[in-house]
Amino acid sequence: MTGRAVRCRADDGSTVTPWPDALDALVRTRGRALVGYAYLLTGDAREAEDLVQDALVRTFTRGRGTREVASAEAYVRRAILTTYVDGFRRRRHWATIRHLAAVPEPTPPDGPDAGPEPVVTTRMAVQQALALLPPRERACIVLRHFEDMTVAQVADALSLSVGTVKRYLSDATRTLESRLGSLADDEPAHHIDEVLVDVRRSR
Amino acid sequence: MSTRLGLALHDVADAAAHASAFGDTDDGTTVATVQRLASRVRRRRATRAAGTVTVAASAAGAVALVGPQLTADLSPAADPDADPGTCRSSVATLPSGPDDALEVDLGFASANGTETLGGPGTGGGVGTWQADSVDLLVSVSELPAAATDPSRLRFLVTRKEVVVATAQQPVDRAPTPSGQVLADLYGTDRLPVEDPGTTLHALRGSETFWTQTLVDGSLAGPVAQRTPMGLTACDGSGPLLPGEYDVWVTTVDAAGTAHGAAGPWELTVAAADTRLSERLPDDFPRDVPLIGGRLVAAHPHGTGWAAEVAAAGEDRGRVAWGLLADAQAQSHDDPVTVPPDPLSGATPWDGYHVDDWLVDAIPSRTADGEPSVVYILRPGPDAGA
Repeated sequence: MTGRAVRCRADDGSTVTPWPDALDALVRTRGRALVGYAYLLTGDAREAEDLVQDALVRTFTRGRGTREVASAEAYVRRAILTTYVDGFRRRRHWATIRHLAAVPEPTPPDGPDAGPEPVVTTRMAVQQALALLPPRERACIVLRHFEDMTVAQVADALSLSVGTVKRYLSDATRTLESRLGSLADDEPAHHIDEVLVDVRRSR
Repeated sequence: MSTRLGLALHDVADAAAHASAFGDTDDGTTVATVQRLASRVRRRRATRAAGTVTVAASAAGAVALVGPQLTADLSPAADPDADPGTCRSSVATLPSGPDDALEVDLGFASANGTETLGGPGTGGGVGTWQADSVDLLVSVSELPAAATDPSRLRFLVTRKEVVVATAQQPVDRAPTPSGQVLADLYGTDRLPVEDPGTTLHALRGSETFWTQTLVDGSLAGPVAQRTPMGLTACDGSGPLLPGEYDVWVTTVDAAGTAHGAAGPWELTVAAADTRLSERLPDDFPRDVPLIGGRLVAAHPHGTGWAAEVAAAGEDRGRVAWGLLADAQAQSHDDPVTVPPDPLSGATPWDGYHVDDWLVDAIPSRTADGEPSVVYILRPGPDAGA
């Protein structure tokens, strides 16, 4: 875009970058990662890119993208999540095609001895299993297991009650396990009652 | 054997990221992508700024105010005492508990007749409008468990999360299978109701109707109702100012208590220009009123004239037709009957009869994609008489 490096100082002392430069830097350095994150929610590459672009526009329109890239990325991720959960993927559409979703065979696990084939097979199986989840359950799973959020943090991010998040996670885990077999013990989603006291690993 | 879900999710995300060219510094389209995003941001920022008005600073006893002015956003602050879902309340007060699930799709009928519908956050929101109401499309698939019968579906227009306009309609608590709706519309011979489809909660009122596009005789596309939503400020200050707003939906029971919240959908209120940006040719018929906006072209066309005016809003056709209808009524003692929608094709249509001209106005877009209205003027039956 431009080679400008214009920065100024905000009232709180932090560095503020002109929004066009911040947008350019964010797209170039974190654009793909954001698409990957959005893909976990949409399951469709084109929808994921559209979702990221909509989230970027919303974030920068509201003046929330002008700090450091990491800070701006957090706002965009939040916008991606909000946009998705609020209806980017229509629930009715999901309901009407749910029965058409492919049911993968149980897949071999990943592990030290796993070659590329099992990894790819597992990835595809997980993608297909994720497609069976309604949007809110899917969002809960992504926040809990990809973002490593606690149940309370998931509830806060989605503006849901803790009990509702537990129910979504429980239902989602049951659905995923019905397709993928048991989920490993280091993923605590099926110990829903214990997650509030879990100490999550740092990212 | 088991699957490590966290690792698998990271693998899925990494693979999707790797497969995408979005933001790829080696991809020549990235520059264009960023520029396109920046343009969208600028447009939306400009629209937001349009809702901000400048008022002169004043103070009792001030000697002379020369120059200094304050820029004030006239959006009202949220009233902490306002009940959820009422005028000047904050959308943050809308209930969002487990019994408040409200599933609604909103959309709009565009100027060219196409219809869009989607959940909150979908691309087009509920469109851009310059007059006093939105041609809203509504599809309610789930009402809050806490809602009682009778309930009303209440639309909330908000600015900076404060409710600035409201509209509402009674909604059926009992759901209707969408398949049955379509069968009633199109007949079971055309659409056997083997698949009941999804269930919908109908808005009551004779002014609404179901709309649906059948694809190969099967259930496809949205089933929704069409209803107008007013754009008048709920505090009595008149029409909403041009700018960017959000639309939320809630339900209200007989006691006036709100249940559920869905939103936001983006809404833009465009400034209604009353003048053209440039002068029309001297011999262009003066009595034919054109919608305000940027004059794109005006030139002789056969024995008549053609003109195009760039004007915002999905209702630009409606605005243009209203002006022509008024002009027709003024120019003829015995006004010609005018169909409510000249594009409907319901009746033979020669155009609005203004002075000695028959005038068609057609919502269109310029070569650059800017919304516009194209006018075709033909000599009327009395021309040259």
